[in-house]
Amino acid sequence: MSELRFNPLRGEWLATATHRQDRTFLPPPGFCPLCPTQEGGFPTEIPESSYDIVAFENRFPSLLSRPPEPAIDPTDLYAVEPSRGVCEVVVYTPEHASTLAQQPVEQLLKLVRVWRNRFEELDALDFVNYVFIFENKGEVVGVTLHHPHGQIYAYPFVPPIIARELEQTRRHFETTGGCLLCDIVGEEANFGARIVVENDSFMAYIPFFARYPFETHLAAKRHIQAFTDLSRDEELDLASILKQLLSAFDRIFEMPFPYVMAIHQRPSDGGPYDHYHFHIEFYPPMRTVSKLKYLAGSEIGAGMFINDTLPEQKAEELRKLVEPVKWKNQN
Amino acid sequence: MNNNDRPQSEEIGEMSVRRTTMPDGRYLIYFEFGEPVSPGETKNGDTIKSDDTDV
Repeated sequence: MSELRFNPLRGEWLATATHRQDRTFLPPPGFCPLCPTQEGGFPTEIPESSYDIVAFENRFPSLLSRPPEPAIDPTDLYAVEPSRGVCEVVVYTPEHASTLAQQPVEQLLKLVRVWRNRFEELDALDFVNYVFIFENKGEVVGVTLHHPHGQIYAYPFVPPIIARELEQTRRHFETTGGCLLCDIVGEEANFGARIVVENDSFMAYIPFFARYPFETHLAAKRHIQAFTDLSRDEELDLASILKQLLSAFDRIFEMPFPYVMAIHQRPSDGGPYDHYHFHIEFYPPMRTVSKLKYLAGSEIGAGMFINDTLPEQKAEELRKLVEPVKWKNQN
Repeated sequence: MNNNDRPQSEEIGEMSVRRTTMPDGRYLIYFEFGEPVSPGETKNGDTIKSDDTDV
């Protein structure tokens, strides 16, 4: 059973997807569904014996292009809709025992091009109003498959966090005539102490308002709204800074660093979003090598986060761990 | 730290997109980079079996 139910108290949709209870959970070695299928071996989701990058419809989706009718009727108070949308899996590499951070920068450039392709195609679907590209990395954020991969949810509505950012950026534009993210990047550039790494096209920083110790935002320096606005040089620079940032994350505790990566782009509903600004948000849950930042009473119950650290100090720690990128074809 | 070094040229080559259909009807898209392959073949030399079409 799968359907969208509206929460009138919070003004937001949620999905029920009872079939997801049966999804593959941390399979043993040799039975990874995201590995290439080897001759005589376990038939995975990917029939060929090798690949660069693949994307496919999720076997256990919470949104479907042809969803069933809801199993419950709506009432005057409770709206219900079919769970229409698309859920894709994007497999970053055929190498099972790897991470995105461990991939060469050239593979990250390939991924940037794939993200752009997926955004462009899903953005054009008439029932899609928002394309959300993300990655859950690490068991502590709920990963059920270790093979390096991300996901894409193409929602039939603009999800609440994006809607809130849209409202804040719209208000800022109406008040100041400027872009909020451009102004944030400008203020971080002037202050300097929260910058982790930057290049000609992007800046990564732990924001003034970070809710997690190593929460890092990666913003385009040019005022753009989506992958489809990136120039070829900006694609190279995005791959480059992703490699630097993710590698620095792994050096913090000398282990593959768990995170949620959320790519924030304009909605796909055809509305005017010139005030919005392409950026990527990373939410690593670890606050020390052995301690997690749990969401508890104030965070879950009231929405106010308490950060036990200072962004300026954590940015300095992370900045010291950034190393230059080595492209294969670089002087 | 500002790293403005870009490669002299891209080594990943052009992206080709090959869309296939799984037995249960879901789509599966292969993204391949580099030299174009012969029609009807993958980079590994496998023959394309399903209703592959570019998107």
